[in-house]
Amino acid sequence: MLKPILDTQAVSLKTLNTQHIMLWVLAALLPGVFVYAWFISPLVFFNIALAAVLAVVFEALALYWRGQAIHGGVQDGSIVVAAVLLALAVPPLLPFWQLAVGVFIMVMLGKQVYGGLGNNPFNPAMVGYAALLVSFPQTMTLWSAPDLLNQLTLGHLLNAKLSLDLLNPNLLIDWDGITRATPLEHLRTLKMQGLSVDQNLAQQQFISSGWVWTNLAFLLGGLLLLYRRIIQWHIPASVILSFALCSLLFSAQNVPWYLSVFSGALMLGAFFIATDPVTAASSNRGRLVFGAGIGALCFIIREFGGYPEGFAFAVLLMNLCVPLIDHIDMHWGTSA
Amino acid sequence: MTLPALVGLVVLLAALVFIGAALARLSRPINTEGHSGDEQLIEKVNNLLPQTQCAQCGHPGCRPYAYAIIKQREPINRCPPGGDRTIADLAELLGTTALPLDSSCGEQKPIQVAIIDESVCIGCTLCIHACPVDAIVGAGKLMHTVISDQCTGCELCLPPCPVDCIDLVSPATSTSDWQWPRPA
Amino acid sequence: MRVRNAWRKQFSAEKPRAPFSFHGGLKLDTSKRALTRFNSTGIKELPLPAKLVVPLIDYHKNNIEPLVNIQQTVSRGQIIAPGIISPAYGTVSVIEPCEFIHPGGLSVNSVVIDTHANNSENPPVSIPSAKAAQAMINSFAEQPIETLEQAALVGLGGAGFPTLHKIKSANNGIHTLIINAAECEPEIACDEALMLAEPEAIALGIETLVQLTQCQQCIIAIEDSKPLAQQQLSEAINTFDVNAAIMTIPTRYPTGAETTLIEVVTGKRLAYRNANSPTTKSQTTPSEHGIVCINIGTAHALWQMVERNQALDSRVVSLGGSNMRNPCNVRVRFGTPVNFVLSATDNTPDNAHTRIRAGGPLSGFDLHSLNAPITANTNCILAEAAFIETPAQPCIRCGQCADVCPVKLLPQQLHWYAQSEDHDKCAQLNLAACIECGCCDLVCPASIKLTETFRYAKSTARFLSEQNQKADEAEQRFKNREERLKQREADRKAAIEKRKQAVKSQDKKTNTDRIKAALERARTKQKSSKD
Ligand code: SF4
Ligand code: SF4
Ligand code: SF4
Repeated sequence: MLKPILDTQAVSLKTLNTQHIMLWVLAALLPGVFVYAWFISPLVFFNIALAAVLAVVFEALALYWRGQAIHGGVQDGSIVVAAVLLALAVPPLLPFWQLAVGVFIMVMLGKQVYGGLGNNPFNPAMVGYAALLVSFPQTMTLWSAPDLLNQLTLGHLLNAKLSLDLLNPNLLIDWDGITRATPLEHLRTLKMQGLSVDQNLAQQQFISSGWVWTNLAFLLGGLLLLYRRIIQWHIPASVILSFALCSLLFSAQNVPWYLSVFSGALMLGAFFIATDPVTAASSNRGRLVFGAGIGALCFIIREFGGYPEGFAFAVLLMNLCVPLIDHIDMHWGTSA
Repeated sequence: MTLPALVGLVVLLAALVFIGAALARLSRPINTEGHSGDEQLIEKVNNLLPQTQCAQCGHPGCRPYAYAIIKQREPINRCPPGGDRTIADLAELLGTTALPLDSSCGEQKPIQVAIIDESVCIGCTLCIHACPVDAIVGAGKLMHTVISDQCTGCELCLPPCPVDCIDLVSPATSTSDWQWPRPA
Repeated sequence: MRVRNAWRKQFSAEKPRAPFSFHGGLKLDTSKRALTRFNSTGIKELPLPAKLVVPLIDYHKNNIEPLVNIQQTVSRGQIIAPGIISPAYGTVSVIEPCEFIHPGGLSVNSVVIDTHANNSENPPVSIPSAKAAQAMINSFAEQPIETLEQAALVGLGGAGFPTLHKIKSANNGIHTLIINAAECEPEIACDEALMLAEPEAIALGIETLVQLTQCQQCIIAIEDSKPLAQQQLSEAINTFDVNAAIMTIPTRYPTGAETTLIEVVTGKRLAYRNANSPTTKSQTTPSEHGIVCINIGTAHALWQMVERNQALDSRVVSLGGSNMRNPCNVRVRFGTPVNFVLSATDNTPDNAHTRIRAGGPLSGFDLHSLNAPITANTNCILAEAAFIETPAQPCIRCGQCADVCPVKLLPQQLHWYAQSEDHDKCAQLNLAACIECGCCDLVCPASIKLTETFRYAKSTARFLSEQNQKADEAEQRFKNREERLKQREADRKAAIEKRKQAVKSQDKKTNTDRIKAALERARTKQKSSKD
């Protein structure tokens, strides 16, 4: 006769599931990816493809080892998003095997050891990135020179990428010819040498490097996510605001704040990395604190730290604070 | 040795002593507190016990068992009606590890209530005397009955009945204690 | 005689204030409602079935004892158990456990009434002139409020709380009377149908309520998705000079729920988690704030009581859902089995996979049996196709559930604790305030069964606390018994002791006597020998 189903919904009224969310995030990344490929390096396509495929394979493997349903675990697409973010964060010329190591660490140490999606305290992509940064400092700062892009064919670049010696990655064959420091690294080197930076020159360099355009493209994608209500405004807004405020007030470098906001990985980070719901604070008020912390830490690391870009560490440090933020927030009442 | 090194050593030692003392204090088992602490603890343990008063734990009721747990270090896994849930609660309260139920005391069963077959009952009043929670009413030579709302299902009235007219049945789910099933 | 206060006049003349808003909620697609068929069919009057089943259960889900016997003839409106009336004239054929509308398919002791073919139909309510109506209302309002008991009025919104208790529980007087004309769930359209069909009766019922409760203001809350019903009702209100103002509220699920409606109308939050101390429950009942919320269906029923002394024994039910062939609104006598309703409207499910639900698509539940009778709580019957549930994925902590929760709970946290059976933590997070609206369930991208878990956790917590209370009582009886046994033992000992004492003292006495006697004898012997 009747077969009652225990469900609050009579019919599936659902509009959005995890898979849709991840697809939207990937879609929103597209403009940024294309601008990045155009201005910085088309190699990014190879990196994205490699990272995504490897991530799925590793994830499937990990799920198999853990005795979980492979299909159900992979199909939500969250690991593909993480892989794409990692591929966008590393320099395009990073040797393939190093990228593979990064993806492996991301999947295993960043996600699966904690029990998979939803249980990881740290942003997996940033775990992979940080591991790569401390393990391969040389290659992790190899950025191809944008102004040479016209002269170099994709074949050249790929060749260069493949020619990195597996056993001795430090052996750089005429690398200087095709790589160039990013503006942020350039600033850092100058500062290390105690040289002051000419503002006009710095501005020009920032704009001509293409990073500003890339950041603007990621901003566009982020706005799409906001419009689709995939993410809330709290985290990106507070990241950007707190970073801008810090650089406005405390920056000793001769770069105006509105340029440093559009440099490095800030937009990518603010809209796509910090907003990872699993590792962010869960209430709106908590999200504001979380984002503000990331912005400030990112500024501190860029300005005073040993790395040119501090977004990954800022995110990881704030991930650490999330349980505390959530706890305090819960005991202060609900989010506004 | 230089002075700073000495100072450092002293500070380190002092810190170690302090931490050691603090840890020692914190790890002291709760049941070495004073007498009034014991009383309170017995009360708390008693509150966690199901109050079935079935004596399966080997004590004549829940409070005596609570007393024994605290005063005589009786194991906490001897209450079948409470089952694993009660053991877990007790372990948490007393800061010990939860043990599996001691099967020599009995098995955990679903909640049941006694029912007297009134056509067979001879009115001997033996069950009335056996019931630890006064859930049976009746008078000599007259039919007896169980107030099912007050019966704890302790089974103590079963053995004394000379005509074996008492049965345990699972109580009908009434609308007031129906529970939504647990989602998978 | 109760006079109308001047300020009340003032109030109704005043342009109603804009509604407040509430946290969260969802805009649902309400376009598929059964009302779309209203224009062709209106409210269908259902014939009386041969058998009516009246469950003997009160609002608190306790069984109640019937006041009638088997084979007794009952008249329509006769009280057959405290708070329950017979919905029709007939004979009590049997009193036995019958299935009723319950998510677990439980049975409850019910009075089964054989109706007779000569049962009168529901005559349509007659609408007197404005003056006559006022006179009727005035004389009705002068009676003691307990007369309402005969009307057996209960809320027709879905919870079925007795209206009389609601009014009486506001012992500090009623400040605001809210008439709930909001149905924000898709498919439910019974109130709207009633407003379109009999706006005058509703208006008069509202006026009666205003007089009865002596409230300071009365606000009728209607969603903006029902312009026609609103217009009809406001015309009726003007015709009869009713002291109530209409407030147009946005259509957002769950505005029709009591807590949210009160917030929308008055701006007062009754069930929210206390912002300063999450450990204390901040839930208060509306009547403590002098607020009473009454459904328009109940107002309509009240007018029937005033006009022809007819108790509440039928209601409008929306039939809808994707597998309902003839979605419509029907007036059903209480106690009518669901399958009678379906067959009388040519809606009998034609395939075995159809699920029949009672209540709306979000707040309702699947029925286990079609023999269950319609009661005052049944606002909607849905026929839906079976669908495959999406398996739950891990929570990604997106926070959407907290964003939509109308009572500002933290469903994600609650789910965590509810799953691990941490009922104390759930209580701290004020699980009791959850109105089980299903919003969080609907938005959760991981398809986690949040609302179901909360229903489960709430019922389990209630069950456990009942168990606890029972355990306490058992312990008390055990203690009393121990005391008694001890006392008895002590009494017995005392009695033995007393007897021993008595024996001893008696012994002593006799001994001395004997000695004395012996001495006496000896002495006399001595004397005699001396002599
Ligand atoms: S075994 Fe029986 S008497 Fe002993 S604690 Fe448990 S319920 Fe009480
Ligand atoms: S079901 Fe409960 S927790 Fe979920 S949104 Fe509704 S009120 Fe909030
Ligand atoms: S909506 Fe679902 S996935 Fe998102 S936080 Fe709530 S429970 Fe988790």
